[in-house]
Amino acid sequence: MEKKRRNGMAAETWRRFKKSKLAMLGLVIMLIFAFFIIFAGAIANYEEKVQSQDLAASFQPPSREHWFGTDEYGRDLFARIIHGGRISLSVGLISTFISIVIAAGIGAAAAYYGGLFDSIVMRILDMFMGIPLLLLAIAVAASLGPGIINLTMAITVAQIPGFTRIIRSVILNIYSLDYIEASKAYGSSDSTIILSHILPNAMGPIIVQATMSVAVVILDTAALSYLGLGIQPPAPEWGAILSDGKEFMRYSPYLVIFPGLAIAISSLALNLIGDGLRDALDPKLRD
Amino acid sequence: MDEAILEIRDLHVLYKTDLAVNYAVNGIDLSLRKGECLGLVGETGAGKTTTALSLLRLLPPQSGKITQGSIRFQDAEIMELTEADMRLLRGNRISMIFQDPMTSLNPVLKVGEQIGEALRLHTKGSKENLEQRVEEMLEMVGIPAARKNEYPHQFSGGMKQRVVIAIALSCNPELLIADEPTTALDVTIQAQILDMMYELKEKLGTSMILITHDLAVVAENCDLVAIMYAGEIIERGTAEDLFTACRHHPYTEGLFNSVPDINDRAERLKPIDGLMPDPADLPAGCPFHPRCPKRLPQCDRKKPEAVSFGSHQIKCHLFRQEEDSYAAID
Repeated sequence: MEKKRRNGMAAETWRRFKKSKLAMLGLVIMLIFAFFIIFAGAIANYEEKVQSQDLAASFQPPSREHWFGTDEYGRDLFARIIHGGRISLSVGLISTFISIVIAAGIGAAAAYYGGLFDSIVMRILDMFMGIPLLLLAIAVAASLGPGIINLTMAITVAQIPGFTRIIRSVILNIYSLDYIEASKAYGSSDSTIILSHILPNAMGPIIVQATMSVAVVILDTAALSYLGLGIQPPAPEWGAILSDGKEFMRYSPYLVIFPGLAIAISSLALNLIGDGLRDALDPKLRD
Repeated sequence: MDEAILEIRDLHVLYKTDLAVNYAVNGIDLSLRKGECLGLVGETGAGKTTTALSLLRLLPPQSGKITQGSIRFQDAEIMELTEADMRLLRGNRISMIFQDPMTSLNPVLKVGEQIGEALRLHTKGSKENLEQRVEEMLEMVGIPAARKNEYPHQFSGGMKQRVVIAIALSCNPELLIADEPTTALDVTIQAQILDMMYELKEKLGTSMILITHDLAVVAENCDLVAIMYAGEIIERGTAEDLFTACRHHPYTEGLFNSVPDINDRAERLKPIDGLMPDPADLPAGCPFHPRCPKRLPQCDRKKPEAVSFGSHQIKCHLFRQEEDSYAAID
């Protein structure tokens, strides 16, 4: 019964989502990315195309053989981008998701209980907010050491304060509404109120914020990799490819154009999906 | 029938802010028997809602505080219950209908789920039973059961208030507090909702506290009436006492004069001059004396005692307790 209802809700959300052409465009783009990323190994051999160097073939412009051209070591840029997408997108999506979940918990509790608890939590987070996201991520990554998992953790931690702020303010707004008081008046416990009344109403702004931050995370990952705290070369990663290509931008602009496009298009697509999802989840816009 | 289900004794509530202490409720006594309906009447800011929220212990935790008094509900002293026990009581034995149906339903949950929430909290039973009960509740308030899968914005204001009432009555509470349940609705819908509430109350044997500033609503629905002013009950009695007795508190007279009379060709209503006193700075003596047209010399010094005649009770220096009647001081 419960399961059926859930399916019903998912189906309804999907029906609404489908109506938005832009959201569907975003979804199609992400599916294309997903296809290349999942089958990256089959399309281009990692050892051969991504790692091994062929200096004779360096700086080739895009051609039928090398779709996106080759970099300074003669590696195929297309292969590097599809393999790099595995790391960039998974770090972006996973760290954003985890930090949103943690921030939602902290933000909801702070807004709900208010008073001293709220003050203490928010002042601690203010301390973290004083440190730029990137520096915080660097500090965490430096103490944990390089590696994909540590990188994800560093970025997750760095994102929590900002998200918590936004979620707390959204929830404070909702908290003052009558249906929260009504729910208390019929005996709901704090956790029921937070989980079934406050968070569902806060979903819209949270989703939008989350999809926007994925692009930021991809760039931060690049910065950390550049500092040697993230992905270790020669492993490819969009941000790292972009910052490597920067040096040769003048004569071989495709070295920055393609990874830049990958980042821009994927974050645009995620934003479109986020917008569509927000609208699909809002019952007021349902018809 | 004679046993009071609710006894409020000398309740004092204040709101503390950084700037001031607002004395919202100043020593009120109320009692209510099973099946009775009490009308709590007064201007905005008289402390009606505060009284209602105190009964559920839902005052804003940062500022609201019950400083003294006792609230006995059946065999329980509400002031002494733990928060967990309070949660078992709320919605189950005492439930509340809020003023504005537009905002008292959660916009992202279907109405059926919202009715089910209170039921799920307080009753045991299978999912099928629960669904069935939700449908029954909707039918009971005159909404087709099929609409349980719709969202609040798909309902009109009156329909939403019906849903709110269905939620409040879903666990068969012994006491229903209705805080201006019809203020946000237009007049024809008001009548429908009130009739329905009255019928349901009779059917389920629920006691009710009806908070309102509409005297007509009180006349039609209530057995007992209490008039509140600046956190005190200044006059109380049965509905009959209030509407037929010849002696009233000057404030009550003022309230009656503010109601348009269909037989009277007066061009203007006669409102009460002035405003409700600032609850942070209540006048000494009778709280109504600065606005009172029949002020006596002692009014600004001494608080009037309640003078009662049978079930009718007035707190005013104009009247003096005699053997078993009251007389006006002329």
